[in-house]
Amino acid sequence: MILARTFILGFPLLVAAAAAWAVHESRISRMNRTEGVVVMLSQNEPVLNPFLPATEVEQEITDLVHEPLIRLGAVGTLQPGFAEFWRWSQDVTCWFADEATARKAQELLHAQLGEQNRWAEWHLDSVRVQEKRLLLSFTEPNSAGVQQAFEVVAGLNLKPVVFWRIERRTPLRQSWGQFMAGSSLAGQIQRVWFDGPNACEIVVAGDSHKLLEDMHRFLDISREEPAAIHPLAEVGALSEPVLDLDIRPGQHWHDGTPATADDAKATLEFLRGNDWPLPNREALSNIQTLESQNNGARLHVSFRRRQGTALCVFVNLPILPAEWLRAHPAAQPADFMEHAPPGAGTHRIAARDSQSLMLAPVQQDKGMPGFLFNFSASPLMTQIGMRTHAVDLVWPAADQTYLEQLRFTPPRQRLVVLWNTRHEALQHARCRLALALATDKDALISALPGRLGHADASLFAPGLWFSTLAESQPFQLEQARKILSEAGWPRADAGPARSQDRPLRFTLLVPGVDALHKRTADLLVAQWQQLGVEVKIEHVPDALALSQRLHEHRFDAVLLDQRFEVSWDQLPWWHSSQAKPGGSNFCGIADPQIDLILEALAAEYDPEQVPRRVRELESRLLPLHPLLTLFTTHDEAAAMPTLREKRSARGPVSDWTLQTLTGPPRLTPTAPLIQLQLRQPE
Amino acid sequence: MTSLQPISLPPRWLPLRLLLGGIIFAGVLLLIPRHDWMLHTSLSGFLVRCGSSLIVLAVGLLLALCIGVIVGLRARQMAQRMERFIALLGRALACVPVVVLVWGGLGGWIGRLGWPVETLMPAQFPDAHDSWHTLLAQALWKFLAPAFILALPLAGEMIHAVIVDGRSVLDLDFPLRARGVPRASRLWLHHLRLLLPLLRVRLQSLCLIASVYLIIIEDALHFLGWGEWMAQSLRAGVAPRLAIGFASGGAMLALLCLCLQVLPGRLKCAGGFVATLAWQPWLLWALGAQAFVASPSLLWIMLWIAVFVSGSAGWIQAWNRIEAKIPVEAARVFGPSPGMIWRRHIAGLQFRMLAAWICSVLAQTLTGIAAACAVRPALLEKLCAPLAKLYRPLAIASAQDAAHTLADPAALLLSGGGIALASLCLIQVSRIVQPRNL
Repeated sequence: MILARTFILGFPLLVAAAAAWAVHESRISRMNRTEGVVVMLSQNEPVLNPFLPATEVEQEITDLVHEPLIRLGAVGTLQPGFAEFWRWSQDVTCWFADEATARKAQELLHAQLGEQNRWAEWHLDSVRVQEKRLLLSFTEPNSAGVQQAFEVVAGLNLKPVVFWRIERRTPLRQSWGQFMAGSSLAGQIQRVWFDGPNACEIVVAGDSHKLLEDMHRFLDISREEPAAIHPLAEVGALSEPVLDLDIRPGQHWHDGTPATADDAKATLEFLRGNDWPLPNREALSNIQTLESQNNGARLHVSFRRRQGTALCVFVNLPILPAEWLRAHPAAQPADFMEHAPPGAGTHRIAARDSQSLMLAPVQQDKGMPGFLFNFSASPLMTQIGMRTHAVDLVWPAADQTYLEQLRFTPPRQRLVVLWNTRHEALQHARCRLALALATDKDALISALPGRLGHADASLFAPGLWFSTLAESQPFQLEQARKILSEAGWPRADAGPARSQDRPLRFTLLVPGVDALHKRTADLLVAQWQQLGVEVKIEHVPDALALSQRLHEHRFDAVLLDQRFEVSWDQLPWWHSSQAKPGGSNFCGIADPQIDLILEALAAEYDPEQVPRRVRELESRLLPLHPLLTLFTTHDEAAAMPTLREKRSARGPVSDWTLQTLTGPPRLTPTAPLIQLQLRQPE
Repeated sequence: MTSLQPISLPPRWLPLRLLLGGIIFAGVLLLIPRHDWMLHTSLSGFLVRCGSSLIVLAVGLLLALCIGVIVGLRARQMAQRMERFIALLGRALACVPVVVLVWGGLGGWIGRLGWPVETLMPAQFPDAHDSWHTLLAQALWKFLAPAFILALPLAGEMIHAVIVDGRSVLDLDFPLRARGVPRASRLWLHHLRLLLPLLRVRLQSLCLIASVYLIIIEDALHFLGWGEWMAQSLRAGVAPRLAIGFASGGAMLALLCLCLQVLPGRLKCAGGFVATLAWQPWLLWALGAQAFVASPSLLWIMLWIAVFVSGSAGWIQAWNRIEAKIPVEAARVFGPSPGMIWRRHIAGLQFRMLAAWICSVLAQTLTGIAAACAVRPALLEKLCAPLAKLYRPLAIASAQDAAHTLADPAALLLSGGGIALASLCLIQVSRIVQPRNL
């Protein structure tokens, strides 16, 4: 009896006591989490391709795990990443009939080191002879001394340097390989650059006639269908901008192997070999040669074109280990998911499965938190995590309760209206100004879904060292009506604004896939109707059709997403040379003064000079109102009260990233652009 | 749920019959053409699931038994009205749909208190698992949470059973008191000894319904056990998966019933085919069969058949007991016709039995629909509009529904309370109408 009674009374008590203890322990273990940040994400397991982050979260995970050569710092300046220093220079190569002539040319140049020391004036650093070639190295990429130095040696039997372009209907690479292996004249070809699979450009030193015959022999598909080979230009010497990046010593990958310039070289070659839509893709494709020098301490990059913004291709571009890239030459999403490449960032991937990803800080002693990302988090799981204080961040923000705890990430793109200045009404700047004044952006932001931010009128991305934050036009409907009336489109009562013979009307081209675009277009049309402008919306089904319409200039105004890139080159979008059909100056702005500024800006190699040139450009271009900026789009995360942030983040801030949680922003000084001292010739 | 129908005596070799029943039903399911044989699990994984569920079932049943005995015996010491009231409360608890208990519990535990349920928590840094007692606590709470919820309705059943069955066993209280046996001994030794065989039968009958409860609970708690596997399979309607689930379910029930045989005391086993049929998990089978039926009328006919068959033996045994006491032979002495004897002595009783049976079946159908909608929310569309409105909060189809219920379980509790009240009223009417032993 005693046994039965004890059991019947004791068992529930024992179970209750065990449960109470278990709950207590479980609560304590979850509440006393000091080691990291738990993030709930509604998205599925990401691929984590560091070059193609699909979402903002992926971008920020990549920033934690991988290290670029040059990093964009917290205050929008260029900061050292893998590369400790970088500097631009210029290599000029001349070809002579023989080595003796080349040596003679070298002597002539050495003679300039006399009392006047013209080398310093020319920014000439060294002159070397390699067989029949004379190599001149200038410390300034834009040095005017190139021409003067060239004039010194021009009288010596210089071989002409000719640029040829070869095009074929079928892929060219294999035949080209056969030609280079089989032709005795292939040595004349100094540079080869493939422009896609079916075309390439070559640089030939000397007489090209026999070489062309030989090329046709190898490259012609048939007698009826020969390869198209035509000259592009002929010059006396080959001038190439060169970027040297000194790799920071003592850096290691997360697997312990040292990180060298070979890895950077392998990464850039890997990226050039595929067609991923990377930022500054064009600059990447303009790389002529990549060399790892000084036992992997320096990456030597030469470019085939003079482009000052080429430096931007290295900004925030993650570098992967050469070994991993060799093992995955054609990396697919599965490779990134199953065999994630080691990075060299502040955090390493400690564990990964389809449901979660754990990032551990590489240096435990710095007090950085780890990150645990829970993928495919259902609203239930999210709610439970929030209620039990088991999560620190919910991304995207799901619960209205935590609206005051929102954190906004930096904008990655903005929505703009681009005007076609070829339109009979929109060609007038005052008309475009009136439309800008009649656009109530605050009303758009409050009426549209998603987290939208105020965009400035600048042509460039915000938050960069050269951003101008040009003020956009405030909403002034009456002023807009007045301007429109003065410009020749008065409005009678509530009717349409019209000139003497016709009302003011145009068509707004809208990409038809995105709901945000559609709703924005509807609201814009309603706002512009208040001005008396009749706007018809036309949807284009896909990006290809949109691109075609833009390149053919078959639009009046178009709503476009402008992706922010770290680049100051605006030449393709506003230069008059691009305004003809097929060009990328869709707006049609043609101003010689602007052209000059654009050219100077595109050729600017010194980042410190960029802000001045940008201000100069905007002071000339923005008064023409070529585009109307509407708003930026942001990602938002809800931070739980349990989140211990190193930096106060009160209220809506738009520069919040996961890096914010790892500590104060790295205030490394901007890498100095080393001015090399002139060396005396040995 | 079982207290809503009269209890019947189990057949001989009950564990074996349960095992065979599960296998036969699994075989029937495999006759359905167009199988997807991809089971998406390993044998060891499935066995771990079954083992986990067995632990939960065993703890839940033991808790229910202990709570039932403690409360029931305590009520026996109180006034008779109080005892009846406690029995009614037990029955009311048993009438509450399990989905309401589990989601209501989660709403309070997580939504209001913000306390953890291990199986529903987001992933945690492994560093936090350093100490063995944290690991042990988390593992313990992982199993105890579903066991507690399972124990709730079962405890309601057991409280009612201890009180009601306590009245049907020989009352030795007076003679024992006369012999000077202390009250505790009278209750915990003599009365309990008499009661235990009946409680064993009750527990065995609870095992049958507990399997359905387990599916709902494990599904809601994301507990990776047999129940969660079954919930997924029922929603997907994959015959081979369900067949494996039913066969393994039969084996689990057989094992549990076999273990319950260790409880002391024996009752005479029921014979006949009806008892064998009645002592099978019919509601579980009905849920399985519903996964392959599209017609709404057939769906509910299946549920009624399940309710009817599972109560058949109890009703027949109850009628047999009553019929045995009807003074038919004495009435024949006075020479009335058989029709008159039937009208005077049997018709009324049969009518009352029929009314009681209808009420009982309706009550059990109400809770059965709740279970079916909880496991397969799509069934809600096949209900008529008023019923669909009543059961909608119980059909938690999406994560959004779950989050909404967690944040505000009022609608769920109102709906569940309504169903429980209706069910309780019907069963009380059934109890009042049902003829007593003459």
